[in-house]
Amino acid sequence: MLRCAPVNRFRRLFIANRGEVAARIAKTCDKLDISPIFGVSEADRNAPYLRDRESVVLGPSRSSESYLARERVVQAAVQTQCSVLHPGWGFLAEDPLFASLCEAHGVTFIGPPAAVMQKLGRKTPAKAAMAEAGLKVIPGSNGVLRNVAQARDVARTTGFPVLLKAESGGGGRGMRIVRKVGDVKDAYDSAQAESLACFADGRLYLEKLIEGGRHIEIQLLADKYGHVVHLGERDCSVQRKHQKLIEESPALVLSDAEREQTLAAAVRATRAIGYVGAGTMEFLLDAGGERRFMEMNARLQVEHPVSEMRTGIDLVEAQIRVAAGEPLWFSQEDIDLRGHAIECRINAEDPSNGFSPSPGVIERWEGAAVDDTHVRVDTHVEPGYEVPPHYDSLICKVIAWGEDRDAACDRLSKALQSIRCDGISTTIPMHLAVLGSKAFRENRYDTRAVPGWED
Amino acid sequence: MSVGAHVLRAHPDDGESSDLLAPSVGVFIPAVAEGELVSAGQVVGTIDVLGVLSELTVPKGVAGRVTRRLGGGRSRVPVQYGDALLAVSTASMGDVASLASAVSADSQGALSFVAPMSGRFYSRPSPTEAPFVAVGDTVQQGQTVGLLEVMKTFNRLVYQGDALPEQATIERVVPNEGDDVVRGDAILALRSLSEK
Repeated sequence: MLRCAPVNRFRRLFIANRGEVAARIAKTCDKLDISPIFGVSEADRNAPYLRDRESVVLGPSRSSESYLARERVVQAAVQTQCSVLHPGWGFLAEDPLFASLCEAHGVTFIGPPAAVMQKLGRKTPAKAAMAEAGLKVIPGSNGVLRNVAQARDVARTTGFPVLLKAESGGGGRGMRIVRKVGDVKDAYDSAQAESLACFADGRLYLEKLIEGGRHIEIQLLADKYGHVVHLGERDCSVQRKHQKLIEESPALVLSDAEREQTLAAAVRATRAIGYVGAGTMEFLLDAGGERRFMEMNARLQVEHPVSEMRTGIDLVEAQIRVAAGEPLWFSQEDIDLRGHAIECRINAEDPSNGFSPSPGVIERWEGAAVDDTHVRVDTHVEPGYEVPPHYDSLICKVIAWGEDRDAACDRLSKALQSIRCDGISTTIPMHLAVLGSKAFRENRYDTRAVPGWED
Repeated sequence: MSVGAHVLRAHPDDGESSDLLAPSVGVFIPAVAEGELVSAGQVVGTIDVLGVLSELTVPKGVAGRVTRRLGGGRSRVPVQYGDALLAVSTASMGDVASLASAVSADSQGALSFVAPMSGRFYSRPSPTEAPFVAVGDTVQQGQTVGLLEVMKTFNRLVYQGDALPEQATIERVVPNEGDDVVRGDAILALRSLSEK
């Protein structure tokens, strides 16, 4: 694969995020000889992943005054002389206002243009754009709902069960399943309240609930010159309450023909909307084999290492190079999708107690540096690290590659078994149960229940 | 033009001085110099966060001399959240004037120690230290019982004067910390001990 000279446009890159993704981005910065500068909150200022690194404290622990405070983040990037900013995922990663603010102050935002983000961030224009680009979408309200009465009407037309979703939502928040007309009002009110609290936007839309489906997504990469490639698909159907737990590639539930068709359609749609950077198009595959577009995430995804393990392409590097104005240095034909890769998200949660959060001090942390070139561990955790109670629970990701699915599963199980973590509860026991279960190994499950694990 | 305002958070790092901490990342534009006296409610600078200026005010209970200013003499100082912008010391007020005290007594022998002039009352030498006096204490001639800030100058309120008994017990401290008092307002309610 042809590689051009390292990016020389950027010297200092601001990381507007924390924890695992912040450490992940810094790794690529080191490789490209770019200095990463971490914008952190009071709660994270002494975290081990910041040791020997440059950092600036944005504000107190509360995200609204630190990681989510647009002006503070941009100010911090400017005053630390950063010419580029990586938002990671979550927080401000898909906030078009933030992206514009960066650009207005001379800081290159790593992500698609603000206008494209604006379109994708609100779900209904995104669906309309995808339908226009030739993708099949999930039936439902044609745009944002005006009120409960309209929600009832649309639900009757679409047919129950339906899903009420937050226009600015994500991560399973602001979502309610409604099975009969009498429940619409309560679901509408509670989804709206949650959406207002989480996203400061109470607007809802509605779509048909497709139960028992598989979550399939396509990793895409586009430069500023209209070149778009895919890095294959991922199957993220092991979920609990819409939160992904395990992701893998390829998605063996797709036939070769279905896979080719979906990948090609995703590339076409990405080009049609003028997308730039790394992005992910999510599809729902129903029991009848129908693939419908759900949404496009305009950012790096938590599960991106799955695609990196199969292709050997560093997605963060590609993001930085694209932001610097470089054309993609490979074409679709150069991308070799090898073997099978699986990722487990390890969260600070107790899986045998309803996945209740488990913040606290990690007293013992061993075995995470697994000695296997086909196993990758992404984490910011060290012995003695305190998982703060203010943020999400992701503490580590373990990704394994194998010639085939079984080989990848075996390797991943072995790696997970070697991790010793004392002081907090983690989801490792659940992952081991899933990886060893018949339902998972035989690929017979869907998004409704975690295979091999009873809640 | 300032469009926002922050009351600074004080961090007591030792008994004699408090640090006033940056409320956000940004550029600190100081409005006071080292050596100046500052007090609660006073604007001591602004912070510029992406062109939005917010005034920074001294929190309640803090008063004294600025002994250190971040960035030395610079007029714009990039700071992060929690940086100590100013150190304010009350221990260095050796040169404060002592005000002659005044007293009024009623027929029951209850005494009132009153403010000799208008100003802001402080019961303690610095926010982190114990009050000069408390209810139940016995005061004697020459003892400092509080501070009165008058026109940015701190004055010791000294229990001293011919009209006062040699010793008295404090029954009540009348104003709250940082209250504005006017001349003649009661500061302490006392009961004489030496006339027994």
